Amino acid sequence: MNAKALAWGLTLAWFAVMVGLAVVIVKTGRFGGSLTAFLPTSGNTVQRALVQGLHKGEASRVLMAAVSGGSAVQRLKASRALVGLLRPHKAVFALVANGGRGAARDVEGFLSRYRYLLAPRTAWTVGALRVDLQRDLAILESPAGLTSGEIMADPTGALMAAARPWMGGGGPRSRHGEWESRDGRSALLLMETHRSGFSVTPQRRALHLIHAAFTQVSRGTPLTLTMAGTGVVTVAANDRVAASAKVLTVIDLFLVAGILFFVYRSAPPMVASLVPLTSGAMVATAVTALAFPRLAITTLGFGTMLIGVAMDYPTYVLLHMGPGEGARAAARRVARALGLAMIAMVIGFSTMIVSRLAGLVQLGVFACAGLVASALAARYLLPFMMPAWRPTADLSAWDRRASRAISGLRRARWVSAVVALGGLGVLAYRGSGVWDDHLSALSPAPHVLMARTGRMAGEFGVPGLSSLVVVSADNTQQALARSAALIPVLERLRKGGMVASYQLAAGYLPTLATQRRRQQALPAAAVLQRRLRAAAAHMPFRARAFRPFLAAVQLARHEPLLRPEDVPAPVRARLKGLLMRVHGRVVAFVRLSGVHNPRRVHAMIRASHVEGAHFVVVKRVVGALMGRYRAALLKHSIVAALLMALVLAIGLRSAREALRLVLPMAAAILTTSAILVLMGPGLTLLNLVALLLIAGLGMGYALFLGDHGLITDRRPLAPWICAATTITGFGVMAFASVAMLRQVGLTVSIGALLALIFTAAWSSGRGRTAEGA
Amino acid sequence: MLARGVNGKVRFTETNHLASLRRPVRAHGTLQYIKPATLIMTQSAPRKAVYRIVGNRLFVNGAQRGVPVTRYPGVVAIVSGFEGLLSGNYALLAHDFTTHLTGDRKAWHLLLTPRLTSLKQAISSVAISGRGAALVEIETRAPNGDTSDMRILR
Repeated sequence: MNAKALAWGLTLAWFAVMVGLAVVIVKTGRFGGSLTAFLPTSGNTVQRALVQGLHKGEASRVLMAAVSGGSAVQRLKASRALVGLLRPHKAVFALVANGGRGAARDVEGFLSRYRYLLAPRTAWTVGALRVDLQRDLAILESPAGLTSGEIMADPTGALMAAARPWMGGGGPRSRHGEWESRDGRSALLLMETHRSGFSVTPQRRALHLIHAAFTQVSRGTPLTLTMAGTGVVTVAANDRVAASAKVLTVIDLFLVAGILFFVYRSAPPMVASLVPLTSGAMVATAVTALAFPRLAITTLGFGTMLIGVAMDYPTYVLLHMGPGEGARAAARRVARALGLAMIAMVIGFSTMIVSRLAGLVQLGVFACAGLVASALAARYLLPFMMPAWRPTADLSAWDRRASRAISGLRRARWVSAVVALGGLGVLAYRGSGVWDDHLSALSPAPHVLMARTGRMAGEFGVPGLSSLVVVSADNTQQALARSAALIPVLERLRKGGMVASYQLAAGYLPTLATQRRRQQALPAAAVLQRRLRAAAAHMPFRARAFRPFLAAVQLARHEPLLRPEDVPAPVRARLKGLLMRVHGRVVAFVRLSGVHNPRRVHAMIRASHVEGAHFVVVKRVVGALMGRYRAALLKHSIVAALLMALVLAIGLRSAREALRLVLPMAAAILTTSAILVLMGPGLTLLNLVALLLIAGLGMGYALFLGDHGLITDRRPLAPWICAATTITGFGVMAFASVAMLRQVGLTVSIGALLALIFTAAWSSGRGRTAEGA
Repeated sequence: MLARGVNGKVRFTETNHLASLRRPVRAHGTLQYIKPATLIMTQSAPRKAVYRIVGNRLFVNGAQRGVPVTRYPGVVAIVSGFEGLLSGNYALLAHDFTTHLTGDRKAWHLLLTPRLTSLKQAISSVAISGRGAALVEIETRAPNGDTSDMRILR
């Protein structure tokens, strides 16, 4: 009775702790869902800047919408109404525009006030003014004349020149001031969010607002809305994984529950089997959320996968209950083996914590915390939660079958050795071609959406993230100056058709030196008035028409110069994506769109001799970064394996036994890798993490298959049940529609099968195992 | 009804009174509308010039690169007016302007007042009059007192 009360108390306490942890996670955890968060933050300035730029850059924050169907008027109305509904959401959108003017409207005041500092003009001679006035007169006498009244307030066209960078590289064509697609069948809108396009929740909120607004404006019309942009891809990828995972989880649950029911024939142990993994996942998430300012979704996914080995812990405990024996006695009996497996893995994973890659450090902390918590829960919680339960099923026939299978495998040891050598051969033959380091290889994003995003970005003339020039400097002014020095080269590239358009911070905000030069060139009122009179000779201008212009120039002569920190918010938002502080240095991005000849661009940028300027093809750099990450993970895994072997040798007090455990595991991992390489494009980071899980699973199999004197009354069936649940669970994932899930499913199910076979084949056979045969 | 009226080339004269110029601008030339969205205005005075408005871009004197008409808010109004009127797309016209039609088929007057603030700043009203299927006169007024009077000659 006492034990029963304790069981209830424990279960309730456990529930309370789990709820507490959930509260901690929700309250303190800041989730960042992005693969870029997983990229190393070390590396040279260019690489760091790229990672930061990829994550926070403007290009990722742009959402594009096309309203199609219906009549031109319906589309126009909807487009205007959408802007009206979305623009008030200032907290979500930094920009909502459906026409070139809209994009510039928010900065009109700023551009107008500082136009003489922003426009690249320093010639104020009579001759230069005369050219301006002749052009102005031509406009006034043209069909546009009537409404060009404001031309006299700015006869030199300074506002136009200042606004030019804001008009974009061509941009979409417009009709009645609003953008439309090239075929004229859709109205186009551009939104820019404040938060990164890789952050799932804010992007989902933004998309929700857009869809809700569209539902409202399109009521009773045949209009349809098409969205594109990084945020759309992010959310879709997320949903796709979630949806796919949901269905598979249900199937998984049925199958795995079926296996467990066959073993236990009652509900309590099946439910209690979830306790260790749940405890581990919750503790690990809470610890990681508390230890790091931001918890990457990737850590959560990869981490939960790594501690998936905890699903085996309860099986090992519960299957070792002898006749009439309670779970506590069984737990005590397997404690040393479980503990050893856990400690070896924790020590192995802890090598990740000392790595210098942010994502890997998080993953290490998560896995270690999770494993410790799971093992403790399996040893000290689970048995006390069900003191009265006794196994009812007689599985001795299955035990005998397992033993026979193991003996058979032992006799065919050499086959596994040959297979493993073959696997090694395949890997060696492929060499570095084994790896697939593209970021997209990991992305679960639907390809249709990615293609649409690329197409619409082209239509908008939004410089993508495919290639850019990175200019690093000691400070902001130097970065602006250096990137500004590239403008003549960029202009040549654009004229030569090698680049469609470019965008850089110096285009929006000239250096202080440049501004000063322009300001000092502005003539005094009397001088300007005299020159204007001379320039306007024989032209029909009224003298008083120049008054606003004279006043504006006088104001500009005494205007304080502009620094990045005192420009208004929309300008600052634009600069933020183009000018970044990276570890004490300042990096200016020159974003290029429509790069036709990367080699020539590279050569010309280099030939410009602008210090700190590098032409970068993002895909290649990201590939290199992924490669670095993967290499680091591999290195740490090897160190981890050696450490695990050492821990095992100490735990088993025999180097020979430890080798017998570790080598088949390594062979299984090698063979799995070889199979995957033969099947698909190459191994990604994801496969590598899945292989680490195999190491953990394999160690469990090996410890419970071999006779090391760690466990009295060993059940040969236990590892088979563990492997069966793992292979079933992950095997279902191998049929997922999302490539990412499919890869994990394949890796783990093949790996677990091979690990079981290999470790069984090389297990030491003494004692009870032989008895059943 | 209106769409059929202005096929081919017509001659026009235009008198603009601008606040910034001492004397009115007197222009004349030809106008040609090509469906669906091209308006070619050939000015022979005060200077020889060809203005081609295709969709929403203004090409001056055979220039390859067009200027967005949006740079001259008023032209947007004229173009919307012309385009809406000439391509028979009255709905588009009604979207940018409030319209007021008086007279009968023989002699009609259409008064356009801009709905959008951006247009209102540049244009107070556009008065179009015609006889039957023929366009006769377009009078435009701006808030700063500028006026334009374009007459279509047969």
